Amino acid sequence: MNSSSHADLGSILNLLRDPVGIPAPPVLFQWLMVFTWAIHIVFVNLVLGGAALAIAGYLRREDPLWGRLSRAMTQVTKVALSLAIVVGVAPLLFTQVIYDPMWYASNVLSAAWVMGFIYALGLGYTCWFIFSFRNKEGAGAAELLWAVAAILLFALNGFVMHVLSVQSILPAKWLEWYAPQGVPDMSGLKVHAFSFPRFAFFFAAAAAGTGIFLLAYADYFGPRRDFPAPYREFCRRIGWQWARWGFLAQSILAVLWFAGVERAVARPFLWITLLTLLAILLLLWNRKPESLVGKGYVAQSIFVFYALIVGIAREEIRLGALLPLGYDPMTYKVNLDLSSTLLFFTTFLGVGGIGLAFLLAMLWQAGRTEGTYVAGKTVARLSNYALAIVLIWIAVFFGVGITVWVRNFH
Amino acid sequence: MEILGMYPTWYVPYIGSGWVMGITGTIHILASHTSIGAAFLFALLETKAYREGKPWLLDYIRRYGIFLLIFSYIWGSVTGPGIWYSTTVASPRGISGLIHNFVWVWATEWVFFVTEVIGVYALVYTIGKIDAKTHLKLTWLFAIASLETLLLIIGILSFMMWPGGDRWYRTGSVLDGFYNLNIFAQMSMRAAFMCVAAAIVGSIVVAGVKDRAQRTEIARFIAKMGGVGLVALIPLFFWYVQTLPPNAKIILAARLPAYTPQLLIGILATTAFYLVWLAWKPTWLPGPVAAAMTAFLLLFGLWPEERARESLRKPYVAGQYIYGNQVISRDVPGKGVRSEIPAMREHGLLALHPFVPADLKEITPQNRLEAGRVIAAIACSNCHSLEKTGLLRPLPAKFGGTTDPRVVRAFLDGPLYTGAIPYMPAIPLSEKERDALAYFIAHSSEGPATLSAVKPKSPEIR
Repeated sequence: MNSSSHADLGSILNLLRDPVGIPAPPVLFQWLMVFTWAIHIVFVNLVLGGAALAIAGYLRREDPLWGRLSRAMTQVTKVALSLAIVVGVAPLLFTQVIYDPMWYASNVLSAAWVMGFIYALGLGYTCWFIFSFRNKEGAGAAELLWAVAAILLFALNGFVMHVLSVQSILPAKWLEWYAPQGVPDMSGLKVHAFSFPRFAFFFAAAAAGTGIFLLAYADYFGPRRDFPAPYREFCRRIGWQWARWGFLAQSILAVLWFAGVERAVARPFLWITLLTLLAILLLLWNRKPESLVGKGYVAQSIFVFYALIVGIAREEIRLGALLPLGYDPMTYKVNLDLSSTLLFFTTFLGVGGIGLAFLLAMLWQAGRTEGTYVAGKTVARLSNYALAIVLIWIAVFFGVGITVWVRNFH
Repeated sequence: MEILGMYPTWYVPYIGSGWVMGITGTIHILASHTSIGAAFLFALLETKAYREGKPWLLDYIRRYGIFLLIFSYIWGSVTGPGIWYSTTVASPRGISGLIHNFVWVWATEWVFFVTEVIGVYALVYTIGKIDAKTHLKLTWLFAIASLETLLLIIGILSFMMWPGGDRWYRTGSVLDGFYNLNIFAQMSMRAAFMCVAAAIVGSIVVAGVKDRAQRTEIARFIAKMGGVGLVALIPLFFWYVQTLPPNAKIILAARLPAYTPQLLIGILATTAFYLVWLAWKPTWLPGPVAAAMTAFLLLFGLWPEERARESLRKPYVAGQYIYGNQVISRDVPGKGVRSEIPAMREHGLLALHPFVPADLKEITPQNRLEAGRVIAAIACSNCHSLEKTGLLRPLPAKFGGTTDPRVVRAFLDGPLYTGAIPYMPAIPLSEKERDALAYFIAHSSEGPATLSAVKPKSPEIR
């Protein structure tokens, strides 16, 4: 940190790596990080966009369609927030594995903001929950304050994450930020880096992602009579509008963001992101909402795929900043640990596959059913398999555990 | 000259970053333990409802479930990553060591965590909307997945205390570190505590059940569950103590507050009394009393327990190879990790720290106070407030408020340099660094109570 030369900086960054090394090849963690980040950001988009739409609907709630959409998006935002948090744990974990020097240094430099992030998230979440209880037919204007407080806190969270990400890829400035004029400032009260286009890009993505979600939402409730056609058409039209303007804004912001990236023209995924954005824009601009009936799931799948492309582009930008300094995550010391690697992948495929398949299949079908849903053969079987697999998992856990424990301590 | 992989330091005046971790951790523990205990309560109650044809029990589950969404799944799921964040900023190498040893364990926990979060929403919002048998299976899946998150995290938490022997240091194997000596004792103790937490938090919801007969039946059910947990806690605590490392046993015997045994007995007795009352007179249970009991458990049960657990680990933060001050204290051949103590002994701390400004690498009479401040923040502040009136084992007070640097130097030169005190790290600072640190500590004991007394001086002044 005391030298500005790239070679010295690179060697210090490598020294900051955890000496324990990592238990599997780094490329595994890199892909898991990007993949889980993409899923996480889809839910984050839905939180920010869903909250904004719920507020917009609340302001127009005299119109029953807007009122109903507001209430629906309030609930969607609530669940999306839970999923954004829980899915977000994975990229947070994998980032720390291969980019620990960047993540830890950036966090400590703005430590007070990092802790503020946690409590702001809890507070925002609580406010939104209260709003979700209060956003009923005939609710008064004052209830909106809960929603506004929540969305401002969510935006603050976005700001903190953005700052941490940008700071993490500027290691040459860390010491200057930490010890301006040679005097360490250990308060963690300052933020040091901000890029407006990159920050705003994700808010535009929230509008686009929520719009796309509405297209799928309108299709999903097609079979239910208590979701009449006018309401679904209304949702589709709003979704189409939000998606169009969201993608347009994203395209402009992406150009501005990438223009500030060093050697951007040489980075293929920045181009792929731009081309995907333009292709989606073209598709949306040339169609009317009514022509999107039945295409909601395809649109949603494309959006998830697009989020993955953005995730890769983001990784490309990070590597573009760090590789020239001599930090290559692929050179991380590997202390292969097969037992724990196996533990994860078998659980991921077994529990993640069957357990989640049961929950999602059951929820999917129950949501489309009016009245009581009775599980069919497939879901009933899945439920049995899911229970069996978590019980087998426990048996293996204790079987292996007791064997190792007895061997080591008796 | 080699460089240590140390990060910048975050210092929180008066409470230290340790308290920030502690507060976040305590909230998380109550929320998460309640959630897992409640998951089993739901599964048992729903089985009872299914077998005995008592669908009204489902209404209690639904209401407790909604309460849980706020109590555990907002604050629990936020403070879960919050513990990561707080340890990241307070003890980056500590959390890094754990992450790099146990990344796949954490990733596995995440799979169950996702199942648990989707499960709780499904459980709460599909009551009465899907057939009873499928819902019962869903509830059991939720309960078991919740339990599995506990099984996984306990292996990591207990490793933080110690691996239990030499084997892990030699093999570096995750299995040897994870299934450490402390794991099963800690796991059972926490499982017992979960039953207690679920019963006490669940009593808040019981207080809202209007039907007297229904309230009585539910209250007695949860009181029984809490009672079983409470009774089990006592022998399990003694087992837990048996699996602690020697340094922790010394701290337990000599360094915890004198009132600790009385506090423990008082908490157990109060909780037992509450549970007996819950079973005996469930119709007299105002909501505020139940809420107050939850607050009691948090403030007088969990907070001291968390503080004690943190103290028992001293001077380490992870696996008895990383000190609280982030220095790696011993070799771990199984992972190719080498102790940083010899390098410190040879070169001192400031020279090896990559985030110490060049001006402070060489200590001069002009920068001695500032150098002392920086050394204290790096080497001491993880466990000690630097202000004399700080709340976290204030450093000036540890030296009896002396203003004589020589008194401090005697300690720095002796036990601290060699690591002779079991609950303190070895900090082999250079001669000049010890001088600067002693000067800073003595200075902190003078006049003003705050660290601002030794606030950074600008280079111009220096």
